[in-house]
Amino acid sequence: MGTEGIKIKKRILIKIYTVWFIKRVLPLVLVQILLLGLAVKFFADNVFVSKVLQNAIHAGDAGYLDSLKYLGLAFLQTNSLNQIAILIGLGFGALLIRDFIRSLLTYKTMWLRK
Amino acid sequence: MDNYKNLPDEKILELTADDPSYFTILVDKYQVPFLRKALSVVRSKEEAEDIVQETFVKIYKYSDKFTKKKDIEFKSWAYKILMNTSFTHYQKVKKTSGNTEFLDPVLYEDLPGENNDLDVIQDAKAAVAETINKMPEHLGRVLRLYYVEDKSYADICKEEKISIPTLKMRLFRAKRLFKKLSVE
Repeated sequence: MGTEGIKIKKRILIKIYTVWFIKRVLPLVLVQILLLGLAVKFFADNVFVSKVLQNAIHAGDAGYLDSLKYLGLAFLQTNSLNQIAILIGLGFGALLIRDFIRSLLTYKTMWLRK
Repeated sequence: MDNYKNLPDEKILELTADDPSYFTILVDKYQVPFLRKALSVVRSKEEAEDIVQETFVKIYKYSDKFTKKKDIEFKSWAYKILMNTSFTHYQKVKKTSGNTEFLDPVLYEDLPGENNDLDVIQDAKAAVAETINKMPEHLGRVLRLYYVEDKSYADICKEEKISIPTLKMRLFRAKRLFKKLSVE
């Protein structure tokens, strides 16, 4: 395959990648962003986030482990709706990161696969 | 990674749904023959390249529809898309140049001198119908069902009450005879 052929192949693969992204990734990502946004909004409406973070910094004067311990205890002591909102937020955040990495890796593999 | 090259095209197409990088294998395999075929229809390099790109995108977009038609080979399905896309482009080119000429891709494929005499073909459909009429009924019928009416192997087998291998053999013989009769 000559240079011209490689150019066409690149254009084809970019189009295929775009179709795949729009068809398979974008709808998922949009749903995830929506649910993550809702979870974050609910959490922000019910929890004074900056105060929690300030307390975490004070509690962590001795080290990061104490900060994490404080956050863990704060999570356990908050009401169950907030706990669910946090878990949903973390879950969808993780899924978003996974899809982002997956999209990048797929793009990279498209040029490597022979 | 090389193991994937041994997989049938149909399987590779199935894999592309989740991982489009597998599509590279199909592009590597079909890009050059597609380009050659498209070039034989439109005879413009740029147009042919556009056609090939569009064909691959269509193949990917409609891959889910293909996987539902289990008894159809990827190659013939892909070539059908290529020829349809080529002719759509061809018609556009003809329209813009003020001379519209509509041809059925399948008819074009089967006519003698397919790659060179495109401009002089005035009524391909009539020519094909005439040739089919000259053929033994059972051969003409399968040819018409498969190429003109675009029916699947399964549908034709059901209609004709024959097995798939018999149908394939019949189509092979019909095509050979068609070519012979077209030349005469």
